[in-house]
Amino acid sequence: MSSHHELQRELERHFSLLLTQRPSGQAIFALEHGLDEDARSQIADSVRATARSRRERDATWLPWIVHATEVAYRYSGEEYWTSFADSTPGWDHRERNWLRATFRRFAREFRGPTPSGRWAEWFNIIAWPITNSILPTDLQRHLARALFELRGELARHLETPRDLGAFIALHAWHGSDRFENLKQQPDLLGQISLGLLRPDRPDGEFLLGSTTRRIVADLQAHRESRLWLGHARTAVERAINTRGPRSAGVPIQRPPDLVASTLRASAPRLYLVQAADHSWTPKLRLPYLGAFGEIAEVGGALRVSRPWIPAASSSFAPGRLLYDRQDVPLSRWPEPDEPLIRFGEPASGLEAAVMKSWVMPGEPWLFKRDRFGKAQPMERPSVRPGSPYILASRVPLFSQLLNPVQTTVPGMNLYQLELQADSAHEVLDELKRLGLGVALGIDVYPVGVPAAWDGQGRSEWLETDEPAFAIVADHPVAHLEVWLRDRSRVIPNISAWSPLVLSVPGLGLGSHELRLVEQHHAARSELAMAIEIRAPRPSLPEHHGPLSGWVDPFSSRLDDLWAGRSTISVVGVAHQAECRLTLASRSGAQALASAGTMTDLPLTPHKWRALLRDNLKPSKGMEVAFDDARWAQVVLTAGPFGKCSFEFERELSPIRWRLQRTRTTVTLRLVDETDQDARLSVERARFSSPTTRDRLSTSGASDSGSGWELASPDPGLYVAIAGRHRAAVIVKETAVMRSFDDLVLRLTPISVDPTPTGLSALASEAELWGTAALTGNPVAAMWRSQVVRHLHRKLVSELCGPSWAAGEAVVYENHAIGLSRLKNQLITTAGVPAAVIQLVDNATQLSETAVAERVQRLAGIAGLAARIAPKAFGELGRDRGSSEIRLAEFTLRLATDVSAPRWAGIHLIPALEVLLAWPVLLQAGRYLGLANPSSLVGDLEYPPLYSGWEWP
Amino acid sequence: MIVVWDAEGATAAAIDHLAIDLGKVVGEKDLALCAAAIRRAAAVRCPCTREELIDAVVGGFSRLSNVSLSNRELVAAAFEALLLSGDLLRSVPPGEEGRPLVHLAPPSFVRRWNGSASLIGGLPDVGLPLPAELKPRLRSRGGFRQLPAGGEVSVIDELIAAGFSEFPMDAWLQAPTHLTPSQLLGRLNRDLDDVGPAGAVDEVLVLDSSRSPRFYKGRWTEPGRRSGRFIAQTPGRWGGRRWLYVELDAGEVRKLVTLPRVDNRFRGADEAWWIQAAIDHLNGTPQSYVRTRTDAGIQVISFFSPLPMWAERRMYPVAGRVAVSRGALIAFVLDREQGDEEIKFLIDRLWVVEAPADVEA
Repeated sequence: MSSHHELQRELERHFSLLLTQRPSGQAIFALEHGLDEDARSQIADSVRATARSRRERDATWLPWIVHATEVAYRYSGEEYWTSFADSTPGWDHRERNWLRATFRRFAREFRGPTPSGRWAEWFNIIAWPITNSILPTDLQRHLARALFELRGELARHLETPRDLGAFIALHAWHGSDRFENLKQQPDLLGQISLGLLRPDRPDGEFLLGSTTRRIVADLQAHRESRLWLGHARTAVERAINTRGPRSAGVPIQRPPDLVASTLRASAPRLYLVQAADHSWTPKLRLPYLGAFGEIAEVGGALRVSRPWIPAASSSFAPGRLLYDRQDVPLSRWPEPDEPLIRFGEPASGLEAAVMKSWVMPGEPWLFKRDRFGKAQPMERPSVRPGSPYILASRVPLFSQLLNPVQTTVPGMNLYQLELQADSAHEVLDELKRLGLGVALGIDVYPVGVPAAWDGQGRSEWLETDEPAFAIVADHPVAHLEVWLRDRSRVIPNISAWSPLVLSVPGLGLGSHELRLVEQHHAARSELAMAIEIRAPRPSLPEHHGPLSGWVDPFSSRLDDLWAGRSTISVVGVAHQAECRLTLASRSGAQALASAGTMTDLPLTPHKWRALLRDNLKPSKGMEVAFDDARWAQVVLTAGPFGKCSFEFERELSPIRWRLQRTRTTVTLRLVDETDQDARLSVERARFSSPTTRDRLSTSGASDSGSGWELASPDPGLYVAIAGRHRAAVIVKETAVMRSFDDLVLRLTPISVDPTPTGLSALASEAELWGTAALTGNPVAAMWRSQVVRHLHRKLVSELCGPSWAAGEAVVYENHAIGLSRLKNQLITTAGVPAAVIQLVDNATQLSETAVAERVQRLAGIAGLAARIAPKAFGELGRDRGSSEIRLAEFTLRLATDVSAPRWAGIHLIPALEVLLAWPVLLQAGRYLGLANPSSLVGDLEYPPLYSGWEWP
Repeated sequence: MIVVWDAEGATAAAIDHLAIDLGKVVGEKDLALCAAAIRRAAAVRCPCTREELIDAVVGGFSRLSNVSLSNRELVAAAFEALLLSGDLLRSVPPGEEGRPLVHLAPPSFVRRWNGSASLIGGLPDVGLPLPAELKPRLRSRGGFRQLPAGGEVSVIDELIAAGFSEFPMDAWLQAPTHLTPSQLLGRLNRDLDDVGPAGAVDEVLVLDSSRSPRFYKGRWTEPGRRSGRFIAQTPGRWGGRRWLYVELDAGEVRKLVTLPRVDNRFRGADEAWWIQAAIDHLNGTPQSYVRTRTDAGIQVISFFSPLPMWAERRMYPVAGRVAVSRGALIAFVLDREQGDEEIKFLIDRLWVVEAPADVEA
């Protein structure tokens, strides 16, 4: 009997034993083989010895399972089959279906995991060893981070692996494509997480102890991962020790009113700030989204939406709301019941959930002034003698109690109000007329330092605090009742001006009210104090200090960062920071290249794009390194103010392009991991004629296991299609520059079929060029910009007509003259609606509002298309309202970006039909796009196509 | 549950809560306690202004028993001590020059020559994220918190493992560019030459350079009928003080520049004291220090004018601050063999001279 067969039997015994120990419903992973390093090298020997014989492989299939899993454990999203072939001499790639069948056998006989989800369909063979490897090294970091971020709530979800896995999958915020794959398998994710979080549980309950220790040891090789896991374990341990885990029969319940109270506690608040010229400006304190980690029905929707503030006419990245204590100045006063924040698609349904708590309350609007030029909103409109207030009103108020103060908000009336201590009783009627009450007699204020205090009636405390309040009466109080929910306590005989302190320990998360009732003979007076209890807000692990940063639109993909589709914003302090971009083959590996430069904070998307283009990308070695890199990190370091960092990885799609360079050669490789028999096709379009694609020969590509490759690729766009998968890359490799002439792109005229079908093809070509991956060469980015703009102009010209296109050309030479010409053309069009003229007149102003607001404005005009192209219009939505909105957004997207086809989906053709029938609508959209000279971007820059028109 | 306390009991409970992150207090207990309260306020309120932070502490303890936490002057001193230690950071948002913001520094440490670590900053809501096993070793002195070296595992390694970042000593000691007194004053004077007439400025106090630099408080005075160029201060619009370099004509402020002007990494006060040192030097009445050596192998170095933050920080790696005597404003105690480098730095940058120990103020 050979040692290979001995290994097979040993593994059979081991996995059989594990099967008896593991609770039913939980998988056994091939990585739980329990073998030490020596034994693992025996496995490798066994595999090598049996590689060429199918019969031998069948007889020693478990060592093969272990071997394939070990390769997967080291997998970092690179090329699985190449690594597998390298470590398996004699392996024939055509046998890969055998490997999948063998893993299926492991699933049947030993309850091995079965990969599921979209990624398992895409990578339908390598998904098996990867799933069995539990947590490949590159995923360890992502999971450790997710556990850290969610550590405060993990203890509520320890009952079953599925519960925990579903919770993590729903709430883990960032992650790579590979981590997203893991999230699609919540049972496995939960089981793995429990194994990592609960080393105290019996060996093998979730994972084999030696396997867990191995993963933890590998994970601890990275400082941050070690810290993250350590903090997560401590938090879970602490919660279990203090509250008891669900599994111990003591369920940790979510407070029943958590949604309402979290919404209330996180509600945006309008407050006033006084400027140096004494005028008062309203500001909105933004809500803090991190508090929604636990509320699935709200949190998930908020994170993918693009919020905007109607009263500030500005939208912002949702990532910004993960940071506490941020303010936005308002340009107008919100109407009563108007949402203070709105959410665009796909979270518009969310507005209903937040509407009640996050709308502007009705009048009277009373603010209490502090000594520092700020005034906080009062929940209850009562004034205390001796304290200064600001009363805001939409109509002028006339009262001897009020003194007007200046405000920057047009149409608003602000008044200062301060009652003399001895005049309160005489002016009660006057106050009542103004909608105000008066707080007399007893003063209540927090003892110690609460998290927030509005100076009169609302305080906010951390869950770890013991809220306490001092009560001071200006008269002797014989009988004071203190109420907290349905409990009360009577305090007799309080002397005047002698402070008494109440503490209210043990209040749970949420909103509470402390009521004080003074009964004096028949008279009864009441005072209420709102108390909000909230959990301490977790720090984001990659942010250290007061800097706040986010990626907008959010993406963790390296290609999006490099192409400028996603930008980095950093705010928090006005300071200088070093911005460093590092490229590496994987997280933790030695850098392939790194570039740094100084920048001023705040860092805006516009400034980031300029930094990337002018300072980071051109640095030595970056261009070449980008083509080899799979991981990137951007770190902004602001000295004592700390730092924030962002990580990016390559997209993991079943087919993907790679450019490989040696000293003398450049090869374009297509990695194909679909493991399907779908035919592979590769096409190329040259820069000079971007809409014409040539098909390239791919014979024999799928048999090698390493995809397809092309030496010294000609410049252009390469598109690979295999079944449902498509990958596009733009290549511009100039081995030798003979002259600057080589840098000049000469585009040939494009001929287009001017029908909806022909135009949709042109729009789709523009989108393909606009979204294709870029290689490191900066000329590729410049030429791509020219091509995208060329295609987009052609599309606009076809839809709006040559005369309009000629007018637009003038805009680029002389903005004022060109715009005036366009305006003239638009308003003199026969039958142009008045609404279009109105829109054109206000275009500059409108172009500075939030994109969602511009869509709303154009929707009013888009509805008129129902009469002109009723059939196509009707195909755009369920009803007139939804058709209007969709057509308006499509029009503006088409006018200012190339992403409209993907956004429109099946509505692309009918939407184009409408625009062909009524070009005025697109002309109005284009006018809006061109109205602001600062939105025009140079020909060599893309994205964005137009600044200020970045679409989510 | 509703629990009723008297004022003393409530104050004591609040103080116990604050003292958790102090460890063993060395030196002035009240200052250390106020610093703890400011740190707590910073953890839940920052970014905010200096005055809001001080008010959060003072307001939370006012009208209770007579505790240091309701003493605005002491709490303000604790605030300044935390700026000095680096726990708090200051930034000026664009367009908000009159309303600088204060931030809580991220959890970091400065490694000292003897292997101990000065701890800086904290996390929002959380405060100092110090592992439980290190807490018994924590010491506080004024605005400084320190972990002495010792134990099987180095303090530095433990802090790094707990997520603290190292803040290099040379960065912590960062000072403005080296300028001679003439260069510094020349620059300020040129700036003052170039500005237009000042509007009405109320409640101005000027630092009279003709008065002895050995009695700092006594040098501040109302403008009277003075003429010339002076360091000055006025109350800030939103609280605090605004530091100025002014030109007076018969007691009227004709021109002014707001400080800091030369290096905005530092406070207006730091620049004002630096400029005053230059003025005193050029006037032939340089600022001075006194060195007193004792038989116990230690020395005390006393200063009679305030030191800019960047100069005072130079002393902390080798010296501890002690109570002052004989009219001095700040004094440091250190080993007899140490301090030469630091004194040399102060001579070089602030042009101080050593005065005999027996000179009375």
